[in-house]
Amino acid sequence: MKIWEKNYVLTMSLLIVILFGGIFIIQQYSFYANLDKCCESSLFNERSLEYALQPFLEEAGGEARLKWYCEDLEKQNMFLQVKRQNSILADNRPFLWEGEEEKDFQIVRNGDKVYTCIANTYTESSSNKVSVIYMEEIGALYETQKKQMMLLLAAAVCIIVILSAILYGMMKRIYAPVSNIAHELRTPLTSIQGYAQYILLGNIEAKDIAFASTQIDEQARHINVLIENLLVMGNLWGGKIEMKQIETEALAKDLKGYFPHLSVESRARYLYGDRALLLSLLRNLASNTCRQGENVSLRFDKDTIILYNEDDHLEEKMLDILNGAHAVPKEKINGKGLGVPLCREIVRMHRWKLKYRNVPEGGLEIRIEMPEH
Amino acid sequence: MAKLLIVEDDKAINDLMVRTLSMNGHQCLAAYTGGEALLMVKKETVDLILLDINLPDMDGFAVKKRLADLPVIYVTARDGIGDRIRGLDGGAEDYIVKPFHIQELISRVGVVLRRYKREDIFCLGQARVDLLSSRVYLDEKEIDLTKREFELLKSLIYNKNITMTREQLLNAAWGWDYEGDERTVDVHVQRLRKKLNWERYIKTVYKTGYRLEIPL
Repeated sequence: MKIWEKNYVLTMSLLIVILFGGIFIIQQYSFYANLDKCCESSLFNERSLEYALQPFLEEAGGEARLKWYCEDLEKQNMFLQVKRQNSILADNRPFLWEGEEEKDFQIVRNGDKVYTCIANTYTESSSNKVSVIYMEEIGALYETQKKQMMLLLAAAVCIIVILSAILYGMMKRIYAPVSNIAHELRTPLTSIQGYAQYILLGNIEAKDIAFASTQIDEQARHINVLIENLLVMGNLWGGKIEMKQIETEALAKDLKGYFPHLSVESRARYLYGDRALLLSLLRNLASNTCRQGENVSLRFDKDTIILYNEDDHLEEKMLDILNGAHAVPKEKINGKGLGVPLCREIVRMHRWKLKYRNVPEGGLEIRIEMPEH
Repeated sequence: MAKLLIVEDDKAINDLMVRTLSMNGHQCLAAYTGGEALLMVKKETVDLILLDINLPDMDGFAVKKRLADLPVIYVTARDGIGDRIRGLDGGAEDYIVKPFHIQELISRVGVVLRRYKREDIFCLGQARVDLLSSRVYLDEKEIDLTKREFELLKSLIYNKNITMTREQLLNAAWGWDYEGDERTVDVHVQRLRKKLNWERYIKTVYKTGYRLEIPL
C-alpha cells in the first residue's frame, strides 16, 4: 500500500469514527431528553389519576365505575391496579409488577413493549391505605428512536461514500505526481550512476570514457528539465496564474535559445497568458517533437499557436490518448516524462485547448487554441 | 560466457547494461520493445533475459509470459512490493530496482547464470581453475591455494574486467566481520599473481583495488 493510500485509509477511518460517534452521541442525547419528558409526563398523569380516582373510591358502588374507567384508560395505553388495604378494586396491568417499595418508579421492558411503571401508596381520610400501580406504554418513543437512528445512519453512509470519493480523488491527484516524479527521476539517475561506475570500475578505453561522460551530461540535463518542470508544477498546484500580455518576439527569442534550429514566425505581436507557464508549455512540446526531427516551425497567431514538425508522426492510438481527456498511461509517454501531464495542466488552467493531428501531407501539428483572448 | 538479451526502452540504460555485461565477458543483444524482444528470442538462443517492466508496447510481465521457460531478471524502476511479488511469483529469477550498482547487476546475472549454465572451468594463461572442486592447475600441475586465496580468486573471476575494491575483496574472502587491515588483500593478491603466473592479468587499480583483466 502506498503512503498516500495509507493516509487515505487513516483519514477515512478517523472520519468514520467521528461521524458515526457524533451521530451516536447526538442521537442518544436526544433520546434521553425525550425519555425524560416522557417520564415526567407519566408522573404527571399518575398524579392526575390519583385525584380522578378519589370519587370512585368514596362513592358507594364506585368499584364498578372504577373498573370501567380503568378499561377506558387502557385504550390510551395506560394501565392501573388499585388496591385498598389488601383488596384489589381494579387491575388491568399487562404484566405483574408490584414495585419494590411503596413509592417506586421504573422503566420496564415486557416482550417488545416498554412501560413506565409507577407505584404509589397513600392514606385515605378513613385511614385506609390505598395502593395505586400506574403503567404507561412508551414503546412509540423507542420506535421513533430506532427510525431516527436508521435514517441518520443511512445519511451518514451517503455522506461517507461521497466524502470518500472526493477525498480519494483529491489525494490521488496530489500524491500520484509525487510517485511519478520519483519514477521519472530514477531513469536518468540510473544512467548517471551507472556510467559513473562504468568509468570508475571498468577496464575501458578513452573513447568509452568520452561516451559515458556524454551520457552523464545528457542525463544530468534531463534531470535539470525534470526539476524545472517540477518547479512549474509546484506553482500550478498553487492554483494561481498571472494572465498578462506576452510579447511574442521575446518569447520566440527565449525558445530559440533552447532550440536553435526552430523556425519562428510571429503573426501576432502579443498573446495573453502566464509567461513562465507558456514558455514551459512550448519548451515541453518543442522538446518532445524535436526528438523526432529538426524541421520544426512555430507560428504565433492572434488566438492560436501552431507547432509543426515535418518529420514527426503519431499513431492513431497515441493521438486519441493525447487529444482525449484520459490519463496518459505511463508506458505510452515513452520518455516524455512529466511533460505530457504538465502541458495538459498548463492548458487546462488557462482554459485553452491543446490538439494534436497528423497533417495529411506529412508531419505532426500541435495546436494551442486560446479562445478567451 | 553467456548470451544475454537486454530489453530496455531507455537507450542510455540499455547501452550501459550492454557495455557493462559485455565487459564482463558476456555476449549481449539489445531490444527496445517487448515485440522486438519476442522476435529476437525466436531467432537467437539466449541464456538469460534482462527485462524492463515499463516498455512502450507491452509490459514486461506480459513479455515474460510469452517467453516460456527462459530465465528472466527484471530490471525496473518499479519498486512497489506488489510488483516485486508479481515478478518473482511469475517465474523471474531475480528483481533489480533502478538505480542499480553495476557490480550488483553483474553479480546477480552471474548467480542466475551459475544456476542455469554451469561454467565450472575458467582458463587464463597457463592456469586452469575448477570452480566446482576448488582446484587450480598451472600447466596441468595442481597448485595449492589457501581457502582465502581461492575465495579471492573466485571473486576476481566472477567480476572479471571490473575493478574490485580492497574492501569488497576483503568481504568476499574474509567475511564482513573481519577486522583486519585491507592491506592483507595486497599480500594475498601478490601470492595469487605469483602462484598462477597472472602478473599481467591481475591489475592494480591505483588507490582502489584490483581488476582481473581478460582479453574479450
